[in-house]
Amino acid sequence: MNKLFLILLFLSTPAWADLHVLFMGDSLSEGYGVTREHSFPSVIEKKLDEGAVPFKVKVTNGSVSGSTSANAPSRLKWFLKSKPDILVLALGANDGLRGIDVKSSSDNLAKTIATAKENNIRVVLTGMLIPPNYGADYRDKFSKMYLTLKNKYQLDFIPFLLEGVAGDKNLNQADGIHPNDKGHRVMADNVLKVLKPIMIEEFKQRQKAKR
Amino acid sequence: MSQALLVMALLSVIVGLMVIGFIINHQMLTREKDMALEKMLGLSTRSMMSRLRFEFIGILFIASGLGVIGSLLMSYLLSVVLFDGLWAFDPILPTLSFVMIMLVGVSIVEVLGRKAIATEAAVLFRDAD
Amino acid sequence: MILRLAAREIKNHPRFSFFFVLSVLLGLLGLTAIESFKGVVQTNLQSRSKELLGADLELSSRFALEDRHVKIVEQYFEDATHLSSLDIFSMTSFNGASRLIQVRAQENGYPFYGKLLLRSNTQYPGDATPLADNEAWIYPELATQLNIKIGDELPIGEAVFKVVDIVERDIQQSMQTGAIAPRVYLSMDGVKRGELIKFGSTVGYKVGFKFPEGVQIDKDKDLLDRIKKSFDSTVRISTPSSEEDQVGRTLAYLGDFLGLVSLVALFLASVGILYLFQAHLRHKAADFATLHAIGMERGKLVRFMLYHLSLLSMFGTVSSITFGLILMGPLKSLAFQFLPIEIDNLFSFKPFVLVLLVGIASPLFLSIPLILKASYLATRKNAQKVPVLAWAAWPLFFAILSFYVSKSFLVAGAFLGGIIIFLLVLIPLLRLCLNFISKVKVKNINLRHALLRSSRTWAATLSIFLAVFYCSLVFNLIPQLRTNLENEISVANPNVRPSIFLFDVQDDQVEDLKVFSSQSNLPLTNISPMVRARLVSINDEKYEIDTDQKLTREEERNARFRNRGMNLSYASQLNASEKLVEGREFSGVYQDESMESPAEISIEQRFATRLGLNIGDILEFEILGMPIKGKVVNFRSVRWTTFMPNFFIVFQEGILNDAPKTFLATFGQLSSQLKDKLQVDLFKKFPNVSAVDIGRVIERIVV
Repeated sequence: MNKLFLILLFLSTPAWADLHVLFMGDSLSEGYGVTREHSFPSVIEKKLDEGAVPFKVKVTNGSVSGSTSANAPSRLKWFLKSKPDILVLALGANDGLRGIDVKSSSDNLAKTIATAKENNIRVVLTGMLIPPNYGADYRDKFSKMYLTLKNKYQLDFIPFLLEGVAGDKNLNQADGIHPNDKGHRVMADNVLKVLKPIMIEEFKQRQKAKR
Repeated sequence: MSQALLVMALLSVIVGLMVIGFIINHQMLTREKDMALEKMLGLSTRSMMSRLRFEFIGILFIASGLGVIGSLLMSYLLSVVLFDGLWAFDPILPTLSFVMIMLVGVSIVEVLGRKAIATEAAVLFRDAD
Repeated sequence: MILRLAAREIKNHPRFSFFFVLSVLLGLLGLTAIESFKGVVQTNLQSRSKELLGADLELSSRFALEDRHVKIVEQYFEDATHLSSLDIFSMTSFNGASRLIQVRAQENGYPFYGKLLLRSNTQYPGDATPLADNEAWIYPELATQLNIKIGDELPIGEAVFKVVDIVERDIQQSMQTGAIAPRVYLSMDGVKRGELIKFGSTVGYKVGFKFPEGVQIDKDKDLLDRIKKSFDSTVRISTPSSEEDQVGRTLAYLGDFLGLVSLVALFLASVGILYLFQAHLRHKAADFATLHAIGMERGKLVRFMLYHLSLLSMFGTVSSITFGLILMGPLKSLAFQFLPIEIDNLFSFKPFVLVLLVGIASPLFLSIPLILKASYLATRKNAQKVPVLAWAAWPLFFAILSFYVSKSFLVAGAFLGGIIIFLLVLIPLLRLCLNFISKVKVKNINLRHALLRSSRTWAATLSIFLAVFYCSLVFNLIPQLRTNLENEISVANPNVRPSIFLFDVQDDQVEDLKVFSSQSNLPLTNISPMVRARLVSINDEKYEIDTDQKLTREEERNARFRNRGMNLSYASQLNASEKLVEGREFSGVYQDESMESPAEISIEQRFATRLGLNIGDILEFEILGMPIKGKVVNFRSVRWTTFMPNFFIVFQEGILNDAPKTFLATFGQLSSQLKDKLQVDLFKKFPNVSAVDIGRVIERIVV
């Protein structure tokens, strides 16, 4: 019990933070191949620390390389203890790359979103595009999955996490799939553009609720 | 491929045993005259065999014992240098090696020793060996 | 006249001569057998490694390879030919079910080495008809899982392809990809037709090169380095002996091991010959003195001894070569029957050339100082010293020969170094012991006699002792190293190793999986938790490497290794494929409620060496935002070829149990039909779980 308390203590929003943003993704969000500090959630955290928003934000990167959407519900339960306010859900890429049934992925993401909503967590869903070599049929099903979820749960949405990064040799590592430091900076800008107004809105709402 | 390695190991074992066998055999051959002389001076076969056993089995015991210990040390060092430290002590293998060398050595000493002792005294005066 | 005298010496001492020749013959025959066999094994290994790669050199990249890349290689090898291949993941569907597949397309004639065996009993490259742009060959598991038959049509990309054959054996199947996604072969035109390559597609591009006969790029490290430096980090260069994977490393070990075996055989043969020579010369000292006394000059005496021993050696050597040639045929069929080695051409002159060198030149070098010494003794010139060069001749010759047979300075150097160190230690030690023995008083007269004889004829005793010592040393050396190597390279018995390896099993699926396996009566084993983490520091020193600075190719590779995170596990004890090498077992479950003290961790020994770890080191990890410290309490060896779930870093129980995790597991020995059925059922019930058929993987990595 004490161990759990300590985990809770460490992960939970410290007194100085006004908002807690949790990133739950895979290797793209974890920063596979770059240092922790250069992963885009950490870059966002740094920008927030430098005053991108007029309040304190704690950022937790709960991303795991190689993870699929199957892992998302249990992973969110782990982080519920830390009471995140906003969840940036960036999963599904590995589902697609492994050719997992779209319905299964959709159900997993839906379960995660439902859990988040039950716990008063605002969800920002990021979409992924499957490479064209997987065939138009699977690609379309996969893309539609995100749009369906977005519409069903009325979610904030970032259409494509790798916008402006995918396919650019200068922004990716030698494997052509994972972004390098520069690529992560571009991703951070893309995400922050959408996330910033959401954070401001959430901050105001939660301040109001406290009063 | 592991079978190929086994064949290699067996071949080196066979050649090793052969060489040890030849060395002991050669020693017996060179001592035939000495043994014939000792027989003429009245030494019993039993005493002569006893002396051979003490000398050869003693050398075999110590030399092969040290050799086997040396092989453990050398295999460890070689594995560090060549095989990324892949080494684990296995007591069975060196024990088996030691026992095999002793068995072969003792057998040769016994067989050839008796044969050399049984050589006619006339060999002392003969130029052939 | 001297020659006639030498010949008569042989005739007059038939027993000695016979045994001498027999000793030389058998010693050299052993060397011939080992060298011939080694030659076969080495050739087999070399062709195997070429087959695994498919080329003499391969460029691979996730970005399209262009003419300029090809030209870089061609500038070093003008007569090289090259062909391309592509690997692309895609989806296909049949009978309402979809599957991830790995499409491989290659230019006709590629790979240069290794063949595909097709169900129609044809081979590619070979007698199989090349694929048309609307045809495909598929792996058998795809056929089973989707119930596809030859003649059926599969949609891949934007086109449909007719299945014209099934691939029964593919040596180039990759562990990482091919085992998860069954392979489908298309032609290059087929890939175009399917529109699989567009902007954003993830494609593995490869260009393989075949060099003219005799060119072995692996032997020229400098050239290989220069070629590698000519490319940026997006292009990977592979050769048959690339040590970047398990197979490459295994082949390197085997090469060094074979080199050692040759050295051992050479050494044993030389020890035997050396012993016989010096013993004979000592024994004949009186005869030589007699010959000198009746008028034979020293020079003639030397020549007499030289001719006598050379004639004997030559008889032994020629007999050994003759027997060796006769035995080649039976040896070939024996090897073919009992070993999984394909022998196209066993016969090679190389072992016989070596035997000639060892049998004739080696005794000459050996005998010169001994003969000189014997001649000085016989002519009472005891004060005259044998020139140092004469003594150094044979060791130098042996050293050169050692480098030649082992083909490695490191192997020969390590071996010879060991031999010399033992010699330097043993000789003075033995002299001391013999001195001591001569003074020992024992009651038993026979024992006293034996001790006195040993100490008085110290040269003979020393030579017997050293001969037996060295024989015993090398005798056990090869089996000892073989056992250790075998643990590394041999694949566990099919009756013991698992058939299917599962990963990405979720925490809440474990119980369902157990129910599934018991209902299907299938053995589910080795359920192992896996927790993803980053290694942050070792003993408070930062571990990760900043990549936003200019890095060399090797630095970049190292940075990728360090920054990519790792998979941790936890367990209460070692599993069957692990062995404690250093340190102690875990002390139990982690109990510290305050979580201040570091948990106990176990590290795989090679990984520990790579990281420069010692027992007691403190490693800090970040696990989903949570810092966790671990203290190294042991190193263990892991037999990766058992295909059990294994991890570089294992924590003791109690600290990671609550962390988000997935599970790995295995299904035990299954028949092919059960395996296929299982994969289909698993896919339906647990769509996120990936199942790897281990049997298929083993075909590739078994050496």
